[in-house]
Order: sequence, then C-alpha cells, then structure tokens
Amino acid sequence: MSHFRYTPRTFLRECSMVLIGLIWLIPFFLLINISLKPGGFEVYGSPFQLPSKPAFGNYSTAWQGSAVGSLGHGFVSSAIITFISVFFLIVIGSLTAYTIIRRGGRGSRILIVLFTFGLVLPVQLGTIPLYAEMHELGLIGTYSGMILLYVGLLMPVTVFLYAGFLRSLPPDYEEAARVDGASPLRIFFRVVFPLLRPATGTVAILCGLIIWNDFFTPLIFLGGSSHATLPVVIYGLVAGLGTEWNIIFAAVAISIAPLIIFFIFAQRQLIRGYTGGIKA
Amino acid sequence: MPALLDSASPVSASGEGTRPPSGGRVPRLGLRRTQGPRRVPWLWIVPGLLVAVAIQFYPVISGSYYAFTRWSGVGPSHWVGLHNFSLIFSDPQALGSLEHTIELGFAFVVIANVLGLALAVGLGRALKTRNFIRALFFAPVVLTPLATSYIWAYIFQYTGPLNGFLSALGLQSVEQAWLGSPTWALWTILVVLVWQNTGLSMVIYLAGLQAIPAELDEAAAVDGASSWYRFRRVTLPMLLPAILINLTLTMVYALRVFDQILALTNGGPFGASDTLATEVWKQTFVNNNYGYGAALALLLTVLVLIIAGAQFGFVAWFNRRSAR
Amino acid sequence: MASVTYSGVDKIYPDGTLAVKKLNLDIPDGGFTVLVGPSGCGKTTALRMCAGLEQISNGELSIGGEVINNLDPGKRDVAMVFQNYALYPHMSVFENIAFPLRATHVPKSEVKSRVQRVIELLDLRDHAKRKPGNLSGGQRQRVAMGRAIVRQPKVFLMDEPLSNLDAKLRVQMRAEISQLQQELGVTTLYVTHDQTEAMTMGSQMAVMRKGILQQAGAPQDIYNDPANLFVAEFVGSPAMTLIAATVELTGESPVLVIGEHRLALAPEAIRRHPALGRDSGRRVVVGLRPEHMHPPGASDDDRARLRGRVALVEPLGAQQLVHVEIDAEPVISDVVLEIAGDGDADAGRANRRDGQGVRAVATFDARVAVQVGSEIDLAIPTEELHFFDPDTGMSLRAG
Repeated sequence: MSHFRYTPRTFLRECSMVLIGLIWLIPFFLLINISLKPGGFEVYGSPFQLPSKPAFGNYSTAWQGSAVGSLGHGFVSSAIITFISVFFLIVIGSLTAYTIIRRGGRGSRILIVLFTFGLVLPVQLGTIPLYAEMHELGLIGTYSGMILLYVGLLMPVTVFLYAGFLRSLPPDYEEAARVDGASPLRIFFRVVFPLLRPATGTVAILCGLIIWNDFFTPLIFLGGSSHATLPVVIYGLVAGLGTEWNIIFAAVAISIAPLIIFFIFAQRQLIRGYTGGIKA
Repeated sequence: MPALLDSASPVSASGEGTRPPSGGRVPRLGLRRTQGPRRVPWLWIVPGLLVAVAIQFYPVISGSYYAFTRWSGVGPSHWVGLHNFSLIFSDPQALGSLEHTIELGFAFVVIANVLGLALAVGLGRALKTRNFIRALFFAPVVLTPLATSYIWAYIFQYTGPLNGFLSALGLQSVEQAWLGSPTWALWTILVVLVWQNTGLSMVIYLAGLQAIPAELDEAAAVDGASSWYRFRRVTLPMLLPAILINLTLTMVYALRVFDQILALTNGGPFGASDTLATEVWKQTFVNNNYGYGAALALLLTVLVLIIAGAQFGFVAWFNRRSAR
Repeated sequence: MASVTYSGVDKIYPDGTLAVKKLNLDIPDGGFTVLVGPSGCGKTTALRMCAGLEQISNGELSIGGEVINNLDPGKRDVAMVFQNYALYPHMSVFENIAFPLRATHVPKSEVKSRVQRVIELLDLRDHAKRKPGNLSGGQRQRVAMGRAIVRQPKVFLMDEPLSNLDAKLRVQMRAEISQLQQELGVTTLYVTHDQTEAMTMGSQMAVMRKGILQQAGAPQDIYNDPANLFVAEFVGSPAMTLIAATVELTGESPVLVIGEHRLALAPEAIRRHPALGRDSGRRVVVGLRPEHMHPPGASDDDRARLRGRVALVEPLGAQQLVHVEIDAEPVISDVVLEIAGDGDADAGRANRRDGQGVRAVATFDARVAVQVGSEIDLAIPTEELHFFDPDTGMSLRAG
C-alpha cells in the first residue's frame, strides 16, 4: 500500500491478484473458445480444449439470427433508441437541473428530494399501468414509445448527475454573461452547457449503458415486435437454439463486442463517471 | 453600466449602499439565488418534470392503486381491497419469491462489498499489473447482463465445466445439477451477480482508498501500528463514504435482479430461484393478473424504499454524530 | 534517547535519480540537529529514511549504535511530526494522541494518564474532545507534536512542521518547540527550508544541496565561516553580497580590486586566507555580510571604502536595510541562481535583470540618515570579508 513495503510480500500479493484475475477471465475464454467450435459432439467435449478447426461460420449463423429477429436488427434498434434517448436526456435533463439549482429555495429542495426518490424507485410497479396506458395509445412496439419511456425513467438519474456537477460550478461565468446582456436561454446554451461537458460525458455513458443493456422494459414493450432491442433478440435466439452453445456463444460474443471495444477506449471516463461521488 | 445594481433595492440616503444581491445572507455556492428580471424561468423544468412524472411518478401511484384491484390489463378493474396481499402471504410461491429476494439481496451486498474491498486493497499502489487486473474485474460491469449470463448457464450445466472441474479434482460427489437443484439454483444467480458486478464496488473502493492521504498510513506505521490495526482504525473509518455508496448501489441493484434469472433458471425449478421481480413479470405479463402483479410490485417497492430509507437515515444520523 | 548516525547513506530512486549522496552526519544523544536547504535538496528524503518510510540504497543508518536499515518503521522507536500533521480526521484530539499507545497495546489505564499529561503539557485541555477539522492550524500542530511526545521515543523527526502556520504563530511555535525539546531532552532531527528556523533552533545545523551535505556544525560557526558559496548565500538574512574581484599583489600590501575600487586588504584577511597571498591577479569572489558594510561614520580610519548609489531603503524598526548599487561585477553562478530561484536555477535566471552592477544590501542602525538616490561611501572592514574560489565555489579560508 505504501512504497516502503518490501517487495517479497508485494510479489506474493501480485501473484494472488493475478490468479484471481485469471479466474475472472475464464468466462471470457470459454466464450471465445466454445463459439469457435464446429457443431456436433465437439461442442460438448472438453471446454478448455481448443477447437480442432475454428468454425468462424458460427458467427455468420448467429448474425442471421432466426425468424424472431436478427442481430443486425437488434443492433439497429438498440442504437436508435439509445442515442435518441440519451440526446433528449441530456438536453432536457441539463436544462431541468440547471433551473433547479440556479433558482434555489424551497421549491428547488423539494424537487431535488423528488428526483432522488426517483433514483431508488424500482421500475416494476409503474410498468404495469404504463403498459396498459401505452397499449391504448398504440405506443407498444414503437421506437417513440420506448424513447419516451427511457427519457422518463432516467430523468431522475440525469438530473441528479447534472445537479451534483452544477452545485460546484461557480456562477461567475453566468453572471458575467448577464452583465453583458445575454438572455437566460443564450446563457445556458452558450456559456453553461459547454462548461457541463464532463457531466454530459458521464450522463451519456451511464445512461447510454443502462439503456443499451436493459432487458426487462424492452421485453415487455418491444417483445415480439420488429423493433426489439439487442438483449430481447438474444433472448429469443437462445430460446430457439437449445444447447447449440457454439452458436449461442457466437451471438453473445457479437453482441458484447462493441461494448468491449467501448470499454477499452472509455475505461478511464467510465471509472470517473461511476466514482464521481466519492469526492463528495 | 450599473447592471449589477439591483433595481429593487434602493440606495439609502445615508449612502450605506445597496443590500447585496443575496439578501445579506452568505450565499451557498450553487444555490445562490439570482435576482431581478431575466432570471432562469421555472418554466424550463416543465419538460423534464413532466416526463418524469408521467412515466415514473404517476404510474407508481396508479400502480399502487391497481395493487388493490383485480384487473386483466384491459377494460375496467375491480376493487378487491387487501385480497391480493392476503393471497401473497398465503401463497408459498409468492412468499418464496419474497424470501429469495431478501436472501439474494443480502448475500450479494455482503459478498460484493467484502470481495470488492479485498480486491481494491489487494490491488494497492505498488502492483505492476494493476491497471490490467483492474480492467479485467471491471469489464463485466459494462457488458449486457443477459448476454453474459448465458456463459454461466453453460458453466453450470450438469455436463458443463464446473462439474468437469470438480470431477477432475476427484470431487465427483459434490457435482450437482446446479441450475435444476432447488437448493442451489438461487445461488448460481448469486455467483453470476458477483462476477458481473464486484468490479464496480472494487472500483469505488479504489477511488475511496486513493482519497485517503498516504501520510495518514505512514504516520500510523511510524507510530507502531500493525497493518491490520492501521486498516481497521485508519483506513476503514475513512472509507465510510465509499462503503455507504456501495451498500446503497449493491442493495438497490440486487433487489431488482431479473435478467440473470430469466437467462439461467427462469425462476425454476418450481420457483426455487424466483424473486419478486420475476414473479411480477410472470403474474402480470404471462398470466395477465395485473392486479396481483401490481401488489407484488408494490411489495417490492416498499421493501426497496424501507431499505434505502434506512440507509439514508443512517447516513444522516452518522453525519450529525460525527459533526459534534 | 539515543544518537542518530548516517554513514555513507545514499538514496537512489528506481529511475536513477540520486536524492541523497553519501550522507555522513552524526546527531548526538539529546541533540537538536536542523537539516536545511532549498526544495529538492534531499533533506526530507534523509529524514524519511530515518523513519523507515524510504528504503536506504547504500550505507548505514544507526540509532543508538544499532544499524536499523532494514527495521520496520514501527519498530524503530522514532516519532515523526509531518508537515501536514497527518492527524486522523475521524478521531478526537485525545484519541489522536492516544493512537500510538493503543496501537502498541499499552494498558488502558496507562494510556489515559500519559495522554492526559501530554494534553496538559501542550495546553490542549479545552480541545481534547474536538476533532482536527474543528481546530486551528496552531492547535493541530500541537496535537501532532503531542502524538509524538506521548510515545517517549528515542528520536523525534520533524518534517517542516511550521511551514503551514502564519508568520507570527511560526515565531511563537519555534520557541515552544525549542523549549520543549530542551525539557524533554529527546534527540531531534528537524527539517526545514527556512534558514531562520535553522539558525535559531538546534545546536547543530546541516546544510544540504542536491543531495549532498555542504556543511554541518553550530549555526553561528556556519554563519561566520561558510564552507562554500552556497552555504554563504543560503545562510543569513539579508543574504551575503557576492562580488567578483581580483587580488593584486603589486605594491607593499595586497589590494582587492572591485570595479574601479582598490581596497587595501588588512593583514588579518591574508592570514585567514593564505591562498590570496600567492598569485597576483587572482580572481576571487568576495562576500560581504550586511552588518559588515558600515555607513561613512565619524570613526573613520583608512578603512577600505566602496562607493555606490542608494537605490532603496527598507525601514525595519530598529534597523534599516539599505540597498546600494555598486559598479562592480556580480557573481552569476549556478549556485547563486539556484538559491535565487529557490532550488531552481532556471527560475533564478528568469528573475535576473542583466546589465546591472552589484546590488549590495547593508544593515544600518535606523538612526543613520540615508537618502535614496544619493551617493554613499561604504566602509568595509576587510578583515571580515569572505573569499571564495570563483571556479569551485569553495571558501579560501585556511584551517
């Protein structure tokens, strides 16, 4: 923990950590290994033995999916819903948080409590009447319905994150702009919003990940439709594949590949986003 | 240009000057009221507030109403008072799911935090492979839980690697049909949760550890405290913010577990791995008992609120106590 | 209580930086030694090696005659006061001071009495239950000291404990620490970058630069007889004025040539610096302490005189600092620049304005009338001059 520790003990610690790390790695190894196994008995053979001949074809089979939906469609759906939802969350959420923080006073405190409350509220209870309501409005199975849903569900998180950041933003810049005669709207978009970039990054990543990986809500609201998101498509795919683990794993690998790539590039930003609250 | 002179506050005749814009009170940074015309209009919160209320708050209230009805999702609902709840508490299936929710919740919170802390401490400062190992543990956190659960479904198969490994160690007697066993099914979910999420609590503890000045540990070492004593008396108390954040995050997450169960056991065998979240799904969207499902969901919500409330209360009490 | 001895101690970091080079220093039992030098000179590293917070690369460090190179910090029986105090924020004053005793499993009753005694000694009774966050800087400093004192260790190590206090408090605490150390009689190693602290505290001063010990000895001895340019410029405030000059041996007595001035050197000066009497035309660096530049007074003899123009007068109450511009060649060496830039030669160079002559700073009694802009003849007692070799920077004093 400090640099004055002797290396033999540190070496031991390093070895045990590497060991645990390797255990953590096993599922990834299995994923790739099994996904490349050609069909038939080899799939059920030793899980750690490398495939006799890597069957890259598994990936194209997985990609095409089934009658339920293809991975390609899933990707497109997930992308559309995620990006548009995040966009609205950022615009509306930042504006809302800004108003709450800058107006201050009792109303502001009540609103903050309300939004914090919304953070812990489980989604299940509200989903039931929402489903009925949206069914009546014909929004089931549509992109706009899903987007509306996510913007509403993740608004508390977004406002919470922006509010935290805004509290520590000195009002000096805005006051300078006010002295210069700018309107509140202009001040927000030209002065404040650019300053919010770190928070926007965190919101985009956190909310983006939540939406992209979400399963329960799309299962209910998009299940069976052609607009099913990636997790729902995978669920349907696996149900039809039984124990064809090689294809299943190929599908899983394809679906998590963009996330892995994202992780490699955005790791620091990710960690900063999740641990931002520690300094508080 | 006297733009900062608030038109509402007059300069007194004796020239004492205007009251400062914050009304004389020392403004708290960030919540300082802006004065005069051209303030940020309250109107701006309407879109955000509206969509949050419409999608989250109002449905929760109306869902709570439906918990006391019998309803098929379409058409009118029939008020049945506490009938749904008496059903829940007399149905072993529903009670089982409640029990599992709590069991899984507490088990996950304990393991994720102890393991996460141990890993964070283990990674320390001096390790060469630190960044790589940290990435390794943290990667599963961002991956789609449903998707990675399938890897574990494979591992836990009766003919899968876990049993294979046990058999290789000569422990054939321990082999199980993990996913199909009433005793073990729930705990397979726990294993998956731990693998997927410990990285997050680890990363939060890492940040917490880094926030502790190295000098404190050095001072304690020079004063003769053993590593364990230093950890217990210096490091751990200073990790309290991180611990509290982690407890809240892990608890709130564990109580809502859904994806993993659907991927691995679908609640089976015979509801042995059902939680309130999966029960809600089944009763409402598979069996069309919207009212009953809402009652279950209300139960879950109350459970989460009680626990979250208790945690907030504890934090508030603790802060008041340590400020003394 | 025990002596501390550094024998040929090196500290080499993994990337090759040499933080401390062949340090040989002996701190006697009960002594108070101050390690002083600009930032980055290695003083803190040397201190931390004694605490066990830095590993010793070469050489031996012993406490009380026992070599402790590989001993755990907690087992060395040394107590350390950190620059930022390192107080545990979640513990009260009492608990902070009690910590070292509890950590080494001292029986409860004894803990209470010892901590109480220290709290009384440091006048912290009113704050015993408070947490560090609610204390002032001076009070926190005392708690940090209390935590060290309560252990009754063999050695006290202090890492710039006063640098975070305001000026007045610093002066007060300086005296308190000195007095405390005398009463307790514990061997103390004290690190600071402030040469006033170094001079006033401590029976022994050790000046360091770039990891190398420049000179060690009683503060007054170092002041009177600095071993090289660095020590000469570093110790003493206002700093010694350095001028480039030559010594001529033509004529009956040696003459010091400074710019247009020719100063007859007193025989005492030659006696102390025999090297001056050897070659004529030898280049030297002359050092003048501020108190050795006198106003042209009634008591004149044919003391050597240096003419200059008064550029600035800074009244200091009983004294005044008189800045005199002399037409002479200044000394621009890395050493001088480094001190000017507080350890960074480049910063010192950036601060310098070229084309100037020498700016000498003299201390006069406040009652002497001095006019800014006027010409002034400074009387120089040449037997008090310091001479240094311009190439090596070493003092030319014999013995």
